[in-house]
Amino acid sequence: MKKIFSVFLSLVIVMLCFCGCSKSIGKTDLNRRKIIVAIGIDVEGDIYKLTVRSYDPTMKLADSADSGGESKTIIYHIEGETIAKAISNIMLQTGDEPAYVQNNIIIIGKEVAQRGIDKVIDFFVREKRTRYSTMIALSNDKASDIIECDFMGNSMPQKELEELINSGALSGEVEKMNILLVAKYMSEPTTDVVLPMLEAFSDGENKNVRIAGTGIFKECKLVGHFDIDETRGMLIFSDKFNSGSISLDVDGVKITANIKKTSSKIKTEIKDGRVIFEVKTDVKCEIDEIERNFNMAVDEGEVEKIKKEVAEKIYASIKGAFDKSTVEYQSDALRLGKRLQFQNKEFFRNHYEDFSSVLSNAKLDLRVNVELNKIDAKGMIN
Amino acid sequence: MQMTQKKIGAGQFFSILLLCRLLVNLTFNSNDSSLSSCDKIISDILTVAFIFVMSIPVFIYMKKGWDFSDCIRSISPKLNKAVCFFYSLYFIILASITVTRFQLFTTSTLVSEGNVTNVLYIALLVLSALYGAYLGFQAIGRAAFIFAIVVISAIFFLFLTSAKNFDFVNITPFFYNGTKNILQNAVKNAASTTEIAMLTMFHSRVSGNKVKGQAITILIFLILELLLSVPSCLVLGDLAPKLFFPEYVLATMASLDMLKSLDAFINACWVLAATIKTAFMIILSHFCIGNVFKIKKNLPWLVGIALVVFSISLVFSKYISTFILIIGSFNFIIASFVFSVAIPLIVLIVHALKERKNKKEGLL
Repeated sequence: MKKIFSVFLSLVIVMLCFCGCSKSIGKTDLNRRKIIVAIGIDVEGDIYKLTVRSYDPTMKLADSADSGGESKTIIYHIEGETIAKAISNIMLQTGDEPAYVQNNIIIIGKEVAQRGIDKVIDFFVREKRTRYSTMIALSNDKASDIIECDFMGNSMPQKELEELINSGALSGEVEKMNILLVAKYMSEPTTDVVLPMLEAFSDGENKNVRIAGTGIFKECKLVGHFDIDETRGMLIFSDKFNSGSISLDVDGVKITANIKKTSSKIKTEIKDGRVIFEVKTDVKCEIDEIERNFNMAVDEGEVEKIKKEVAEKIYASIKGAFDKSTVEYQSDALRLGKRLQFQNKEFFRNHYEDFSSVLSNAKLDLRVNVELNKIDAKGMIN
Repeated sequence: MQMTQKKIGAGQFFSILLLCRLLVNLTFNSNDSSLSSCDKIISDILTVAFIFVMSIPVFIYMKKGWDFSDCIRSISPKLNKAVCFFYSLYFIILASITVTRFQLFTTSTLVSEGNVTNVLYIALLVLSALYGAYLGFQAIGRAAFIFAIVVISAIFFLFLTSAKNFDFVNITPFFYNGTKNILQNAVKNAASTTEIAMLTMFHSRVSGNKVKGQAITILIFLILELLLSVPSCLVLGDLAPKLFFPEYVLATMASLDMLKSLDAFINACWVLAATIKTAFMIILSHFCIGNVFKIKKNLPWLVGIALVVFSISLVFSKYISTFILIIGSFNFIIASFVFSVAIPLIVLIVHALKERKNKKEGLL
């Protein structure tokens, strides 16, 4: 009896495995799905206009040697009154059901961002088939310009977009954002979202995309942006800076310094009802290049000048980011509220509802300490 | 199959209890959104303390070597039948809650296409659990021991892979919203600890040092609880209380070099734990019924219990919002305390007094 029961149960389980993607358990066949790999969101009037890059497993590139046999992606333009409606409208155009599990990136158009990204994010957080790790970026104009860019005929342009942001994050030019981070920032009492900003440009006949800074939001609406220097300041302030180069001009000599590591310690203090953020930033860097007649030697005087120049540059980056977010936009893009909440919880509790005025009166007390490592291979200064 | 006469090793039995407890944590979030993820860490520690206190009556039973059912029988054989009948119903309800919670998790977070899948998930889980129950508690114990190792490893792995996403800015000050909601959450969580009732009813079938076993289980549970709640706080921050299954979201974000989508691995662990828990609940219900009726053949009773569990789970899943309200309600918390603490404690006191009286009479 036990054996018969075991065999029967095994058969049931095996049979259930075979049904796979068939319609038998209420699912759509794989070949009847549009596998979405990138979504661009724009708006015109009250209508959302989506540019969707979809992966088509049935279409193969003719020159497979060039693409490694990768399947080609297709662009669809769809629209609807809401994001959900627009995406489901892809069925009307293609007859196929949309699948978002493979979606790599969401690009939000400037106008959508100015109206408020909360409405856009809500769909992706609620939609169970969206991965929380899906990247989100901003276009400095239309999202369609970014999605439509084919990166000189690349068969997987969405991967290029992903890599652009990944390498930007590695070189300290941008903060990598995904659905989870955006949802987390939005759930914090005062924090405002920041998103990497991309820009489409023409390179001769080819269209290409580059990083244009970081979009600053205030209550989910795009209000301005950090340039690349300010973005670096934001990342160093937030202790999220990986590495990156900065160009210096020391007594007319061009020097490139490579920042290897930074660490920022932030203390908050309340003086006369004003919040003071005391920041101590330690920077470790090394020299990549000195543009002068070949001479490896760097004397102590030059070292001090380089360190001073690096410190000034980083000071300016952080101060620029701080002033822009707090004074200019009263946006908590640097998550100052969270730091204040942890260190001065009573003050935060009494003021978080009017945090804009706290930000506009906030003061930055910044000290940058630079350490220069390995000036040359022969160990002249270490 | 003579499941009531055999014994199970302490290691295997406490593996079942550990899996049962972990499953509650993984597939159900009883937090209210006013409880910050940092306060949840304190609440989790308090939960474990409450579980320890709630285990005191069962510790005494195990220390004295008293069987719960025998103790009631010594008071009144009819009372024993009545209590065992209610415990049997309690375990059936618990099995149904386990199945519904699991179905809620699979259909709301993993897939959501078609009503057929709801029934299919419930049917598959109940069928697997029935097969497990049919094999007996020793087979369940052996499987649980291996599964417990897999699940514990998965939680360690989840912690390690989440570590790269730790952000200390996410920390909210402890007791930011006061202590009341921390206590409330701890009480709610402790009330969902059905393992004490399971242990009370079944400990006489367990061989080895049971007191030590329960103490170690509670300690391991505390460590695992912290391994889940600390990343939840440091990775998800203020978002965690707003999510229904924060640990699952954590698993979707975890990756290790080429290894991505670890949620599939974590899901597998949850399936294993859900199967074990449901199977053991069916066994316990059958075990209690054995004290009420004379059972000649086990299989018809097991199938009957499984069918009842299946039916109740279907009803629960159809009225899921009512189900969530019921299991979060004050009455349900009271019911849990009654079966886990109140009844065993009353029986213990009455039995101890009776023993004392008998001893005195014997001396005279």
